[in-house]
Amino acid sequence: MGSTSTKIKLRTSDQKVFEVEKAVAVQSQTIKYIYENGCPDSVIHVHSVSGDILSKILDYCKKHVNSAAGKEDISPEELYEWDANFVKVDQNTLFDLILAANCLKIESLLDLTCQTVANMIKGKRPEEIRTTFNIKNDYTIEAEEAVRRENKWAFDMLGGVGTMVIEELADDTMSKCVTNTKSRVCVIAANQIVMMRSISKLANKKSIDVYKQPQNPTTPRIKESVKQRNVGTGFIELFFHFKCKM
Amino acid sequence: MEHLPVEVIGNILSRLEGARDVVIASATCRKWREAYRKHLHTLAFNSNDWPAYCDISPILLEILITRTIFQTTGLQGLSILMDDAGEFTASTVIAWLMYTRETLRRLFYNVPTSPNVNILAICGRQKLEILAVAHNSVTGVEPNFQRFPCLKSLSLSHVSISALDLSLLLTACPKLESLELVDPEIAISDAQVTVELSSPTLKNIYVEAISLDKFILETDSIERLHLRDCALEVFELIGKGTLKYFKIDDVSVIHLDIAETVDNLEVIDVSSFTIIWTKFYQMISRSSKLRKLRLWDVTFDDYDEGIDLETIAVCFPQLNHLSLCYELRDGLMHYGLQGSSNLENVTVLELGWTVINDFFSHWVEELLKRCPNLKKIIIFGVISEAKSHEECQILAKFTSSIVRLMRKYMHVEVQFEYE
Repeated sequence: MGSTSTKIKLRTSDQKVFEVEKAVAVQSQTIKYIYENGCPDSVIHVHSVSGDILSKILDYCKKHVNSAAGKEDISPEELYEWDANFVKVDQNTLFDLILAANCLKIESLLDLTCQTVANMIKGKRPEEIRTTFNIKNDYTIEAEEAVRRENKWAFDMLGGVGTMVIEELADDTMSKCVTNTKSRVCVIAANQIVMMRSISKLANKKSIDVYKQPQNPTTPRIKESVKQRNVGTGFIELFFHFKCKM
Repeated sequence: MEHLPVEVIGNILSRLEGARDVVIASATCRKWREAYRKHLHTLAFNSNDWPAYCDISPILLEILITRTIFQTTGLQGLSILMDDAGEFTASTVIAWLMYTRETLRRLFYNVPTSPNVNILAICGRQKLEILAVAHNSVTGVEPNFQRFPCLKSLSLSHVSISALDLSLLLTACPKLESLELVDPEIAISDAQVTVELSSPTLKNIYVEAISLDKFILETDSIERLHLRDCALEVFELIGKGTLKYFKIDDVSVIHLDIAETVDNLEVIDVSSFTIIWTKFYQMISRSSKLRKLRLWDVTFDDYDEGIDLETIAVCFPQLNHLSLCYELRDGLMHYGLQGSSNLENVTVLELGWTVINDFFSHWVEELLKRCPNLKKIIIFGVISEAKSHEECQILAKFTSSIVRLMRKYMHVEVQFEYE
C-alpha cells in the first residue's frame, strides 16, 4: 500500500470507529501530532467528539482536501457555498462543531463556525443575544450599569442615525424612503399618522423602529445637532442622534 | 454555548470586528466580558461599518477609541478607517500604537494626524504582517534600525514620501509580497521624478494615480502587476519571467518595457490605452502560455493596421478568454480578419462597442466562426444618453442579426451588458 492510501482509525467518545485517509485526518493538527508522535497503527481516541459530529467534520475535511488537491472539480465560489450550507445546522450542532474544531485544531473549520456565530450576534442588543443563545445574565445590576457607562457611546446611540421624513409624501415615495434607508430608526412627522400603518409593515421587515414625532419637537429626546442630506428623491433626510437607552 | 472556552468566545467576538458590536456583545454576560478584555484579537473602528463615527467630533472619537482599545489585551489586528473624520492628535495616536506594539500583526489606519506622526516609526514592527496607511507622511527611513521582519503586505495611500525613502522602505521588508501605492506624493530631489524599486520577494504590485518621469521595478518574484490611472514617461520591469498577470487601465506610458518578463504571462488586460499594435505585439509575442487577453477601449495609432486574429491565433494557442472592444473602422476590421487560423481553445468571448456601427454584427459573426469551441459570448454595449433615431435603428438591426446568428450557434450561451 502506498503512503497516499494510508488509513487512520479514529474512535469517538461514543465508541464509534471511523477509518479515514491520512490526508483527510491530518487536517486536524491534534490528530496529526498524535499520529506523528504516537503509534501510527493503533486507533486514535478522540474522546471529546461524538460520532455524529466527527462524521460531519470528516465530510468537511474530505471536501477541502479533495478540492485543494484538485481531485474534485469545484470552483472557489462553489466551495464557499458548500461551506455556507455546511453550517446551516441547529445551534447545538454548531456549538459542538466549534468545540470539536477547537479541540482537534482544525483552523479553517473553527474560522468558519466562529464567523457563523458572529454573524448571528451582529446587530443584536445584549438581551436579544441572551435570548438567541439561551445565556444566563450573570451581571449584577451595578456591574451591568458600569459596563454601559464605561462604553456610553456604544449603548447610547440608537442605531446612530434617525431618518425623519418631513414632507407631505405619497405612499410610494415614503415606501421607497424606508426601503432605501440605512437607518434603523424612522420618525414620521406628527401630521402623517395615516402613513404610519402602511409603512410600519415594511419597516418591520427591515427591523426599523418607527416613531411618531412628538408634537413638541424640542423634547429632550431629540438632540439639536441636525444634518441635512439630500437623497435625491425629492425629499430630505434629517439625521438626529437619539439619546435613548439601547 | 456555556461549554465554549473563553478563548473561543474571544475568537467569535473578534470576528464581529466592529468595535461597537463587540462592546455591545460584551454586555451579554461576564464570560463574554472577560473574552472581550483578555482574548479579543481584532478590533475595528470603520466608518463604512457605522457611519455615525463621522458625526462625533474628533476629540470625542479619540476618547472613545482610546477607552475601547485600552480595555483589551493582546490585540493583533487594529483598524481605524474613518473617511471625513477630521484629524486626530498625534499623542493619542502614538498612545494607541504603543499600547498595541508588542502584539500587533495587522494595522489599517487612514486618519490624518496633527502634527504628523510617522506611523512606520512607532507602530510595532516585530510581528506586523499587514500594514495599510493613508493620509500620512513617511520620512527618514533607516532600514538598519527600522526593519519589518514579518511584513507581507504594505499599502500606502495618499502618503507623502521621497523616492529614496520608498526604495529604502522596501529593503527594510525582507518578506514583502504585496505592495499597493495609491496617489503618493513623491518628493523630488532632482529635476527628473524617478522611482526605482527593488525587491526580490514582491509578488503583487498595484500602483494607482502616480505621475513620474521614470518608474523602474526590479522584482524577481513578481506575479501580478496592475497599473491604473498613471502617467509615466518610462516604465521598466526587470524580472525573471515570473509575471503571470499584467493589467494596465487608463495609463499613459511613452516607453513601456516588460519584454524580458513575459514568458509566463497568463493574463494581459489593457484598457483605455493607445496601442501601437506592432510594438505591443513584439513585446508580448513570447507569451505562449497566455490564457486571457483583454484589449478594451483601446485606440490605435493612425498609421496602425490594428490587431489581426491570425497572429493572435498562432502565437497564443492556449488562449481561452478573449475580450475585444475598440472602434471598428472598415480597414481595421478587414485587416484583422485576414487569415483563417482558428482560436481553438477560446471558450469565452467578450466583445464590446463604444459607438455602435454596422460593422459590429459582421465582426461578431466572423469571430464566432473563428472560435469553434466557444461556450459563452458576452456582448457589451454603450448606449448614449441622447438616443438618436439612427442609433436606435442600428441597435434594432444589430439585435435582429444577433438573433439570426445565434440560431446557428445554439450551444453558445449569449449574455448582454449595456450601460
